[in-house]
Amino acid sequence: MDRRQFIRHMALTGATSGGAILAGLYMWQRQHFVPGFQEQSGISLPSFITDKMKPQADLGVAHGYDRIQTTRAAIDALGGISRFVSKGDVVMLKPNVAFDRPPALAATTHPESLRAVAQLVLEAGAKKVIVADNPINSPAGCFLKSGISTVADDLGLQLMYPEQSAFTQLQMDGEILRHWPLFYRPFEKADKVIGLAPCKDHNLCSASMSMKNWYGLLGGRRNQFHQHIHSIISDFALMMQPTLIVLDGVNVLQSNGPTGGRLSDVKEVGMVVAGTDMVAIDSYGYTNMLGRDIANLEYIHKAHARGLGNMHWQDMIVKEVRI
Amino acid sequence: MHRTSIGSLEKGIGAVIVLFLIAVGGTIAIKGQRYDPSRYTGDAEALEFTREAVTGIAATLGAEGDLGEGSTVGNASTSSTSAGQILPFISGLEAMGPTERYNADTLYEKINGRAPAYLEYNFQELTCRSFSVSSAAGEYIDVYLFKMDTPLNAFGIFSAERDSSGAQLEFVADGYASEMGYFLRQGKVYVQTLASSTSPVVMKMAKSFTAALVKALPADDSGMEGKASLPTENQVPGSLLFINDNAYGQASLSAVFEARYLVNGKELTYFAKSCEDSAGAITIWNEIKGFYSRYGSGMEMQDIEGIQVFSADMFGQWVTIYVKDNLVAGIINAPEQEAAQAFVAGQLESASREEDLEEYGF
Repeated sequence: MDRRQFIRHMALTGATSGGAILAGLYMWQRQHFVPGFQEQSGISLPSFITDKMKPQADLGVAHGYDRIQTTRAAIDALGGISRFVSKGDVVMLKPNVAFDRPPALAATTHPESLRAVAQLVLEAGAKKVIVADNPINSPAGCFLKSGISTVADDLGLQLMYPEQSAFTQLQMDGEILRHWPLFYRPFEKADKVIGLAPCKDHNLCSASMSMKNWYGLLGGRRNQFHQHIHSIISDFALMMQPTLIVLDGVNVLQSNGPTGGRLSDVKEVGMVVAGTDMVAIDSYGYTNMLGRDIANLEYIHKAHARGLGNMHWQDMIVKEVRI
Repeated sequence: MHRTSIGSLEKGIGAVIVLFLIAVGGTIAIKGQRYDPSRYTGDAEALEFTREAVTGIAATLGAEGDLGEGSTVGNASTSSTSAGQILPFISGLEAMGPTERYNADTLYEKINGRAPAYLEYNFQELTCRSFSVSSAAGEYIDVYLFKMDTPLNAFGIFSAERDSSGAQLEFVADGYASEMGYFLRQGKVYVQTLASSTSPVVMKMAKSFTAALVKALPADDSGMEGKASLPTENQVPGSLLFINDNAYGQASLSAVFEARYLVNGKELTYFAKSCEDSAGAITIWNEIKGFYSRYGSGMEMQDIEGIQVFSADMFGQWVTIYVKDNLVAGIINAPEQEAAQAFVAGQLESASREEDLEEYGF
């Protein structure tokens, strides 16, 4: 090799190395999580709050025992579903289907509650409705026994199962929830997100309502959060900014929650609450559906103190209707 | 020596490698233009946990022969470890999926936030299975067998979840029928048979299954002596409870039986704790007496049928307790002192009469 060739090869090697470094710098993304890397980063959920039209009330409360009519009336009290869902939207509905229990035991979102909201969403012109949850028990068994899959079949809703590949790392600055696998796939194409929660007693946190409902999106060994359950439930108000929340209190599991097992655990309360402020809705539900003293519900106080909602629903505009 | 020329084959191979590297780089650049979260499924280890949460049922499947020692269930032989060994075969019921099993570490996979309530009573193992009802389309029953470490603890969780309006079952002492299921304690096992609806067809099948299960599970009432000391007269149905620890805020009061009684329109709560010996009973009695003497008021000691009975007031609620042989018992949190003392006096007089009858051989 003569001197000229040596210089040419060195120049070529230097240019290749420099190009590779420049390409790496160009493509490097700080928040880009790659499995196996120790850097803890991931996605955060966007806000699904719509600025289409301001609701006519902060809380829509309907009293009645026909779940379809009562649910519709609660949403109508806010000004109707058209304030939240537009024609062509892809809407994700998040029921609580944690257990493989029949609807009568009130441990899961009642299928008629899902039917009522799904029908409204379809009437508003939604292009597609996705129903998703990551149940504690076998997903297929839970969707079947809770009656959710029957409604999905009837109305042509897409049931989304929590397959392994449907999870993505969530990254957020919660009190407890910071870096955790989240059932993310349903959100990928969703324009709007609606939470459909039953109001029920809970052995660990006193009550499972709309905030606790988002627990069902977590993967992993999520039971380890039970040690700090009030902190993580308040974190859900930070994690999720849903389009609309519906809390079903037509039949309320008053004891032996969250699973129940006896009809005597269930009380007919005849109430549905709708709104966008989960803290206000849960505060209302705890007081008026479960009949308990809100002073004792720690996660509500935490969420309120963190500015994630307003627990003082009495200071808000509450529109009540009776069926 | 060094080569002065490179062959065409080597140049060709080198060109292919360079083109391949350019293609890889180009693909990364194109794919990297859009961050697709679903492409990167996160921490592989964490997601393995997720998979287990869904399929953990299979992971905990195991032999069923150890629910009760020496149990012979259904028509299976004791040497078999098949599902039929514990869960009886009932004509008209068809198994849906495999038998599921959970231990103390995995119980949350089945009942999540309810699990701590069972762990408080030393839960050991859950066996559960679903059965479809052949004669009623879409109907099914779910059977849960929660095995605890002792019959006492099985009774404890059974009584903690009891439906006070439930109707007593005729085929087992600790059992009741609810509107949508059957609940009972047999030996160390707390059984729940849940029906999918209140349909009489489904409830009948659930009852047949439950009755067969009771025959299959070994009876064991060891450690339940305290329960027998609670009077049955005027007892409020469904009020019998077992408190395994720290009853009434007293650290010394563990393994306590309690029931409510309706006497002259007033409800009273009577408890009993059976100790290993009289010395142990006296120690506990002294500790409780010491607590109320220190923090309560209106202390009073009576002698009824030769037994010392202690009464005290704590913020308007009266306690009246006594110790007899190896038993510590009494009324707790009564609204009136007289009613509490009268009830305890009645119990002691009744016990005295029974002892007299035994002494004279009647």
